[in-house]
Amino acid sequence: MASCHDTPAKIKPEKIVVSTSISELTGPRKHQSPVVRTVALIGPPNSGKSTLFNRLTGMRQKVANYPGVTVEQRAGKLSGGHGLKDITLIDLPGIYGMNAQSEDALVSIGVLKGEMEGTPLPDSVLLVLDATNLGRHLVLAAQILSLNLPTLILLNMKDQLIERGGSVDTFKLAQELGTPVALISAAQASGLDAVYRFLEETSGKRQMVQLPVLQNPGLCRDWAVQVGRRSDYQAPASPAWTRRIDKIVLHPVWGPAIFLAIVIGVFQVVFTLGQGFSDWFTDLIQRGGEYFAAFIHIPWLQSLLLDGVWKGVGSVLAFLPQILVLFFFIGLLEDSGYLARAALIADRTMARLGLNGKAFIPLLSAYACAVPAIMATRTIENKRDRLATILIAPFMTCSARLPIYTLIIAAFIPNKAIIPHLIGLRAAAMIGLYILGFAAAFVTARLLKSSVLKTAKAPFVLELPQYRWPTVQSITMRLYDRAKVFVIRAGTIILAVTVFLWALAALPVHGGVISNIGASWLADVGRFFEPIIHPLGFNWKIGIGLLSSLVAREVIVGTLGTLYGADPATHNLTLQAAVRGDLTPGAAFALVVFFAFAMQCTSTLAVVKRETNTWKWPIIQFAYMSGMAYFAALAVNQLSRIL
Amino acid sequence: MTTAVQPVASKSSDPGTALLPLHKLARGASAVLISIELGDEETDHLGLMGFFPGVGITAANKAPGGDPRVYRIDQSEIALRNETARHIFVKLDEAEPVAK
Repeated sequence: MASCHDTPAKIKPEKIVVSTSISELTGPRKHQSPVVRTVALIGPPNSGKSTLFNRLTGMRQKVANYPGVTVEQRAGKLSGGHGLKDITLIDLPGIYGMNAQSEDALVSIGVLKGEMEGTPLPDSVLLVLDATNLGRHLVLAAQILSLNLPTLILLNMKDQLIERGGSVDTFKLAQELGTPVALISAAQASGLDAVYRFLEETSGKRQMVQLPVLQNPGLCRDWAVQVGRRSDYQAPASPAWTRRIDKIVLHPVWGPAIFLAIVIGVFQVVFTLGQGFSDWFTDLIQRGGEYFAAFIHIPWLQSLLLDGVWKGVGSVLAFLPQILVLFFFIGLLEDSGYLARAALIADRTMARLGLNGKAFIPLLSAYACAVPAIMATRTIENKRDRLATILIAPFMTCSARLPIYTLIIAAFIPNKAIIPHLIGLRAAAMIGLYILGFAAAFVTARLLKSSVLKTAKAPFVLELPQYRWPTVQSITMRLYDRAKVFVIRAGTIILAVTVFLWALAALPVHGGVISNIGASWLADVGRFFEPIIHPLGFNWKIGIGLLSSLVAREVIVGTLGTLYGADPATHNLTLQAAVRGDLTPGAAFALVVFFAFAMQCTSTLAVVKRETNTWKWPIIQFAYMSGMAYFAALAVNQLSRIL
Repeated sequence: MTTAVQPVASKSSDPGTALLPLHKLARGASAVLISIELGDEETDHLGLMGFFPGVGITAANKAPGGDPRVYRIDQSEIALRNETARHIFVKLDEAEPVAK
């Protein structure tokens, strides 16, 4: 039985009447001023709730143009004058209805019913609907209004409604629904006064209105159509540009060609533009080091600051430009609306993996970082499908792998073109590594889905958003946030690791003189582990890099920067040259293959533990990925020696 | 989910009343949804997305290879795999041409 409410009741032909006055419900709070303390933002996916939340709180929740960006509740204090203090806004994941099943929707439904631990029942609700698609979204309005919480209905995307010739009489609609209605544009910050006025009002009186019987979708629908008609809702013309663009990007021939061109283009630009920036940055670090060296006259301090800290942290920071270039492109894809089309094009591949089509967006975002990707799997309703997606997400090539990939590729692969001006050998090698990670995910998914996580095929239902221009502000914010995370990590974890390793590389002290790295405690540790990694073609320095990068993948580059910097033999070389001298091409290939497969990331393990609620899965995942990494690297190195 | 109208999977003497599985709806053609022959959970989920008896649907774009296909309901465009769409039955709009 289809329904749009959770009560398992029979269809009733008559209509029901809901509560008329809010004061009955809020009781003694009526006399407090202001009454409203906690306000929930709810609405269908991709209706602009987080954009509005950011406007109202001055916070920077991630927003993008595809359904399912917000997967957990976020709270923020209302900001801006208006004399409204101490109001907490709760941004919730989008829902299509109150009986949705996915993890993210369950959070929203729990909060709205006051059943979520640690979150009070909201005092009122801001219901954000897409003004360009009111017909369908009014059904959700009926469900939210039946909760009997003071509700302000915000018809978002006013700009698009007007631009495309649509209109609505908000006064009439408010009468129909018995609750205030305002037309706004969260993106352009217009019409937001209505929100403040609503929050200021202490006695939000609801008129007596009839809502449809929620258990009957047909009646809900008829009701929505009638309400729309009576409030003079004129649906806007179809989005002409979206239709035009889709004709091209979903074309049977051009569609996949454009998809491929975008993928190749992104890596090409990451390499050409990003590498230029990175080289410049590396050079700056080198010169800066030489400049500062002149001021430090104590040998051990000079070694600590320049070899340990400066080279260690600097070698990681040098990759910031490439990571930002990658995030810039991911931002364009997410904000424009192309991502959902890419999901459509890739769905056949997902189906072959036995995976839910909804797994595509989390898996794609894992190319930036597995942590948000694993959280994004909350949009997948089927628990087994969700677990399978969590388990394969870390195989997607995240941005933390870029530093070691770029370092090895730049050190071992000549800067030649395969097709002049189109694709270079280095970009091709990088794409190869991305494909390798994807292949590992593919094989793992097939294994899981044909054994422990077997399920019936889940339906794939994906709403395609309209295309929108990505805003400079949104992209800038993403890059700023990402750069902040990267720099903070370089300044904390990586700094600590490099100082620790430098100290181990300098100890013990003999007669006031620090050790040569080859005779240091670090070398002792490294040589202890060397027999395990020797068959992979790695010496003890690489081994220390592998050990230290268990914390996070990019740490290996910082570690190698410190180790080669501390070694007199490689002290004056660039990191690239030092690595080239220390690895055979076969071993270098084995090293990147190791990183393609290995789970070198404590943050990912922690989030997998949190999302699966057990240590079982992160432990299995770690063992599986590490084993696969070891044996694949072993095979590569041994094969390269035979060939 | 049961509805008043039983789906007729294939032929009918009168083409105007023949029921068609949704994935067979030609691109650009419009139809009215008659019934959904899926489990409760899937039917509920599709209902939330706008798929329920009586609603008007237009077939829009499709992914390369013809699966999934995109359907337009009001102003939304929603993609469904054919394996789901084949259990949704529609009746062609008489006023509309079958295909362009």
